[in-house]
Amino acid sequence: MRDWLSYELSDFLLFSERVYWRLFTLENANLWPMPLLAPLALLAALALHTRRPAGGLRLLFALLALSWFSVGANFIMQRYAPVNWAMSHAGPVFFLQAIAFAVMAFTGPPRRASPRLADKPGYALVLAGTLAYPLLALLQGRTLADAEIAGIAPDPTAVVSLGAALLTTGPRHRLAACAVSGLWLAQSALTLYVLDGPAALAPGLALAAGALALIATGRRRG
Amino acid sequence: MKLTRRTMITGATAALTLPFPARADDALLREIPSTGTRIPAVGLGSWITFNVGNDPVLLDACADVIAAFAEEGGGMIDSSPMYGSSQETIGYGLEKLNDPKSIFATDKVWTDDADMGADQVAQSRAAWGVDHFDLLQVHNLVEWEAHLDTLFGLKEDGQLGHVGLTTSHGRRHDLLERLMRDYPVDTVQLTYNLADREAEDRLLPLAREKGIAVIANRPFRRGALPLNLKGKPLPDVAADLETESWPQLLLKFVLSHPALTVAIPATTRVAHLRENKAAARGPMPDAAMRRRIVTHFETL
Repeated sequence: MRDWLSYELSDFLLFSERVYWRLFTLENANLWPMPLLAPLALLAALALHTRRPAGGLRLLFALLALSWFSVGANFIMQRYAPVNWAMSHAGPVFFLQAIAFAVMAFTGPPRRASPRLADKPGYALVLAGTLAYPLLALLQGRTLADAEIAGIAPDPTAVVSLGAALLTTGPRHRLAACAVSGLWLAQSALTLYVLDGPAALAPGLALAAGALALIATGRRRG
Repeated sequence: MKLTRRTMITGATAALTLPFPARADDALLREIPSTGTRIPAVGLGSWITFNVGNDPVLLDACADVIAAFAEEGGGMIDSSPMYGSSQETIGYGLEKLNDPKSIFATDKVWTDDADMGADQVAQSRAAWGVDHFDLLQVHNLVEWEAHLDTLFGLKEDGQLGHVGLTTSHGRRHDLLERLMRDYPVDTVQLTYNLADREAEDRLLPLAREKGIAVIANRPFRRGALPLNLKGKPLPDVAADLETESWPQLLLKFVLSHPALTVAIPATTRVAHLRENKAAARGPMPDAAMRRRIVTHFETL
């Protein structure tokens, strides 16, 4: 017991900050031009949602299903798992999340009144994941080449998914859309806290904002 | 294989325990008492630094560090199956070396499955691209009884040069002390640096008494010591030791303990590697100087 108490969070991270950010550089280069197209597709779904909420949300779910599958198969299993063996267990969870979004895209969201109170924070999170998240690389003194991009990297994909959870209705749909995203952002915040303190703010704040909005709008029933 | 004292101290190990063919100055070599093998005092760790996955740029940077290490006389490169892709990175670096004979290949067994030790050793050999290891250690004493049995068996069969035990961060010292007394291990690896000196009380004297070589891991506390000491005044003995930097003084302190055989700092930079290697050259602190270094450190 005394031995276990002597462990710190950093003892479980066996890679450096430099290696971590290089994962995104390599992934963006490998999948180009997807780092440009994936956020545009997500934004198109959001634009459609403003006019046709049900159709827009189905398209967003379908794109997120593709995103979670792609991020799991490419970034998590091919890039991240070789330096962090715990990620080999995370890959299948990403595939489960992809299946959940695919099912919701197929069945469609529950009937709803429009517009809803939860739409604004939902839009904000989708925009944060697609537009703001890549710019964090510049704020952190890196380049856009190693930016985290929705549909390519896990954190912004999870942020967009939290936004999608806010845009849908019904507790089961919301839970299916946000559970894995929330857990991922929590572990990502812890990882970045150990690697590079300030960088942890982005997933941490996104998770806090998403959780608060989901709780608040859940109580008011949209 | 049933582990007995007799099987542990016999066997065809002679071919694997010849004097180390390093190009390093003889004065910089340290002896493993149980076999007489001599290896350079400054080795190379791979924890975190060599875990770079399949990144071609970082793989080449690590290969450059390994090449510089070989140029500087080579010696112990230490890794573990626990360290992500570090073993594969070392294999990549060794493949690019013209003369990998200067490397004292050191790895660990790290698995909770008592029956998987031999398989894991085979996987590690494949990752390194070597026929045999010069030293294999039971990582953090995990499943130590079964893995010691496996390793002593490999040594007896002539497939392994030395057998060792490891701990880090000052953990499980009581068990390590007991195993040092009860088993004829060739080496122990433990955390020893200017800030972490717990091993001085019992383990280092016991290693001298039993003729066990000591490998110091975390000599810089994962880089935290040089970072925290940056800009702070060196002790007055630094001038006598011809040392102008904290990293070199920190390494000289570790290497100058009479029980210490090898220190294994890890780095991603060729310049740091060469600076580490240089720490083994020139004058070393004697007991009085070591006390003054500790006293000065504790005032900072």
